[in-house]
Amino acid sequence: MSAAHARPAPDPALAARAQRLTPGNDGEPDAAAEQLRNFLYDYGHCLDDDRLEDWPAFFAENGSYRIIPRENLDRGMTFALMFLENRNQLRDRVLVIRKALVYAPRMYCHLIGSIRCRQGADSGRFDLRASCAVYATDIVEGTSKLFAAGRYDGQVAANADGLQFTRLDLILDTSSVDRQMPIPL
Amino acid sequence: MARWERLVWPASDFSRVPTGIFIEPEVFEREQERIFQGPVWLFLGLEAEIPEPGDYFTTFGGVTPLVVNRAEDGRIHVFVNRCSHRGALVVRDLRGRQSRHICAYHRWCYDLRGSLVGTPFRRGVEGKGGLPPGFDRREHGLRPLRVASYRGAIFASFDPHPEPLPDYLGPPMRRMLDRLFCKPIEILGHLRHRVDGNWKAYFENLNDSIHAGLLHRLPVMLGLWSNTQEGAIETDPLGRHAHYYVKYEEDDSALMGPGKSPSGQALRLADHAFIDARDEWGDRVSTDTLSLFPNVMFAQVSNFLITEQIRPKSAEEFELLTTVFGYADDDPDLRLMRQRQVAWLGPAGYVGIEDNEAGNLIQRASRGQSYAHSYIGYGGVGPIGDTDHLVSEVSVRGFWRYYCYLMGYQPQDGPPLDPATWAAEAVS
Repeated sequence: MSAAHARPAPDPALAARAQRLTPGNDGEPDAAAEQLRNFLYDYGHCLDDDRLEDWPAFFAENGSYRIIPRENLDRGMTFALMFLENRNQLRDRVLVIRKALVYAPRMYCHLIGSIRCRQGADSGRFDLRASCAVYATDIVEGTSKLFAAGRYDGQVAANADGLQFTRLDLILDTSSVDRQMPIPL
Repeated sequence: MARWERLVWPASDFSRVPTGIFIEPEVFEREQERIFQGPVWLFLGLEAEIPEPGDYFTTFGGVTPLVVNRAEDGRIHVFVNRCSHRGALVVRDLRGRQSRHICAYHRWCYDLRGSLVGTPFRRGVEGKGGLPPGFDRREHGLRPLRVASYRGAIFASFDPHPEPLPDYLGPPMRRMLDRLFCKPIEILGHLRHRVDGNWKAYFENLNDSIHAGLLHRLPVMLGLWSNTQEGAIETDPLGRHAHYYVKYEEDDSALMGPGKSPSGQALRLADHAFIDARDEWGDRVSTDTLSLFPNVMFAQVSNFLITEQIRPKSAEEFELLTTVFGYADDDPDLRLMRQRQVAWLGPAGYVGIEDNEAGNLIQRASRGQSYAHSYIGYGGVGPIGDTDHLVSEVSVRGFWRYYCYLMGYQPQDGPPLDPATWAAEAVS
């Protein structure tokens, strides 16, 4: 590597600021931000591993899950293509996927990044935003393609059970879904 | 012989369909000319999407990009979204409000009726360049389509002299639309998905009621569906459209709310919210669908109200645009009910997912099999008409007969296709 590409020495003022504001965190202790990031990564890994039965446990009992096309949201319409209001409905979704539904089995790969979390209005609650890209792999063909791009917009509560979503919305940039979206993202 | 011509229709009752019809690019190109730009009415959207003058949305008629807008006088105009100068796309977004449409390439400007009203450098610069002296703007408007609405549903035709829209629809179809659009509506949102399949396989699916209890296992497992339910399939006199309805049981047991779950369910849900339904019309009709040749389904499924526009992209791909609506006087509970019932249809709906899968399964199995045939026999072969039961795919044959007529296909074992004789055949 030439000297021109070498990283410049850190500016002390910037370094101090970076310490106060860890990436994705406004003034919260690093540990909480780290926990929230890992929570979101675990969420993605759960779906990527096809552990759908574990997916509802990421939500509080009254936690909601929606997938809203951004095309609708940008016009002030919140109409969702997947709309689940509580953990029971999330469990039902998984039950139907496992016991009844005819669909193309695909492997999913979540890439979650640009995570921002902020202390919510109540203590122990955090507002969370992250970007996400989900690749889908056709198991028969063996080919992968970008299936969905969008952002997570959610609220997480810290309680005795650990972290749980009290609300998670996936705002979907990919307005025209590739064939079907049976599995939550 | 062209590839499209080599596909053979052996039976005049259209009980056998050549597989190549789903995959041959030549067939797809011919469909664009003979069907989508032919003597049919294409569904383009709802008037409620463009309530004010200047409101517009872009859509497709077959593969052709179209602009639908409301002019100053309140009338709706539809034109091909292609500048008459050098052929660039004029309107580049999904929807909006504009008093003029201006092509970005050379700034040709059109009014809301598609007439050319502005051309830059018409007289050139300092006497050089410019358009020829005889240039007449009136000869260079956007290509207009014929437009007609029925109950707020906008249709257009490339044919300068199509049959009147009410006649094209026919009485049973008009009755369905009268019921669905019985009062002012409000658009709730759009859902879209692309299926790696052929648009006609989707149309077959819409016109086939027997698959409902076979492919879609969830409604059966929940005790919401049986093939013995009261229902019927009606067609128009030419058998090209299909209206299909199912009624709730007399005792309303299918109108389930939480705590009303029927016994004997094969699947126990913890929360029945998405099954909870209201009989809004007081006629016990739980499912009411209408497929209109060649590009739309209108549907009421419980309280989920939609139009579904079919947009062919190629022989191997189509997009479905689902427009979800409610009535302007909906109470909040009903609005919530409509949102919950998205569990059934759309890209993540339990029934929608499976219909899309069926379309793809046909596509994958069709490759290399252009000269094989599929078989359509439920509900009997022979004359095409109405059935008073749901164990039928008769209206799938009706779709193919009109399709063949427009495409110039002739069945091998009968006289030349003549729509004038079809209505009489259905009665006999």
